Amino acid sequence: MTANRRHFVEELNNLNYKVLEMGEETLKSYVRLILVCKTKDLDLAEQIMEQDKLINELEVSINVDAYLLIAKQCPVASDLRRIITALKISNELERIADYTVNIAKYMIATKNNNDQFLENITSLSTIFMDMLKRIMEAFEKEDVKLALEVNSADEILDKEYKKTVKNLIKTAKTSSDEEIEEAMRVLIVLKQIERAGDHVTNIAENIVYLVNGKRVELN
Amino acid sequence: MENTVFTINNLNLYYDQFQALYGIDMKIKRNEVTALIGPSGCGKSTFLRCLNRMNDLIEGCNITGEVKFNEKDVYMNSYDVINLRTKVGMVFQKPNPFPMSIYDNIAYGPRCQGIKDKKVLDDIVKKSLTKAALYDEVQDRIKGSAMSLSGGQQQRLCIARAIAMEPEVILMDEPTSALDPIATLKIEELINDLKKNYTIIIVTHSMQQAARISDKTAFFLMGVLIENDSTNKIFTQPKNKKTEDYITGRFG
Repeated sequence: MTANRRHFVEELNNLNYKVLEMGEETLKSYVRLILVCKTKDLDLAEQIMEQDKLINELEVSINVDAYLLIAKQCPVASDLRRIITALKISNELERIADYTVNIAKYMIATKNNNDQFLENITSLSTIFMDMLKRIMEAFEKEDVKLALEVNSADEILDKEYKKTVKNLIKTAKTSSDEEIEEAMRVLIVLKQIERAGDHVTNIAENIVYLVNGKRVELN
Repeated sequence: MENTVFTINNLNLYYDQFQALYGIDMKIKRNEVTALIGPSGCGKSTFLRCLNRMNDLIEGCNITGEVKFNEKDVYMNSYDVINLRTKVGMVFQKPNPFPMSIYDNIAYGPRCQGIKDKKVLDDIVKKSLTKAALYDEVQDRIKGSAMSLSGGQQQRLCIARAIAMEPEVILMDEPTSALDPIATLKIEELINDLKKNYTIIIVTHSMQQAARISDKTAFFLMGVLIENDSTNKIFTQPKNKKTEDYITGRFG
């Protein structure tokens, strides 16, 4: 007995693997970012940019596969949702990875190796990495409960970010104009990781859509 | 082995005064599925039948140009047509099993070729049915009548019968148009599996079928080959406006 649409199912599975691979590679970018903070080695920051090229290529590849599947296979129901979800999640991951590039560029340009700054990046990235890891696990297992749990963790990241902002404002009050300007830049840099957390929320929404076919607004 | 199975050069075909094909140039690669699409009367089935000289049987049919199979022009006077049709098998629109047992349907061709050894024939029958994804379904009634099989099974039997002759190419003329959607999907899966060992050229009225199963797609219109490219290209970025209009359902 020939199983129906076996080749199509294989292609769908491959698309899923690519999204998971993209998640892994994006996670590696944040690992590198933390390493840059710990070692103050700017060569590692350059590697983040190289890593991003790979992530962008994966996104393009997922887009091409998804478009071809839609054009050639006429997907419907859960098959269609799976393809749409792959497209959307890959787009979120690409943005998430871009933030590490922005931070790396800032580090290379300013050679900012202020311990407090590096510590802030590390602590926010650590919280974020845990979120990213678990949201990709939720995607792989199609686990809505886990996706919603991870979404709640975004509050922890937001709180940590706000705490950091408050501390920066406190410092800025007694600082020179130049130091205030620098603090503003640091604020923008740290905001990138906070934004990455929002993209995880978007991924959670897509997992709910994939599994239940329902559109939810979690953010 | 040469990568190109068929090379068609400036092929023109006439049914008496009526010209059905105009200057077709095309190459067909080994172990690929090539789909021929186009509206009714566009010449796709006529073209398919040129490849194993099935048009020879039609009175008033005249052909000019070249159809090279493995680099030899099949329209040369000295060409062995029987051997051509062994190497280039064909499956038709309507399943047409012989009114005999499943076993005898498959063994018919090899027997005609002089194979008498029962063990060899048993082996051919089993292998052919397995390759056609039919063996598991019929193994306990292999000596039963082929006419008792469902339409989809009969069509897979016809594919098994073609495979038994160890062809290089299998031509399929709308092989699923008489089948229900599930039987159709089974044949499509089978085509995907078969391309590892065979070159398949299929005429289909279903554009979605062409998109799903083929590597290359050739679009015919009024006897002219309008566009021939990878299926990925044809269904995402066709070069010719006529192809785009046809596949998007704007005409046809």
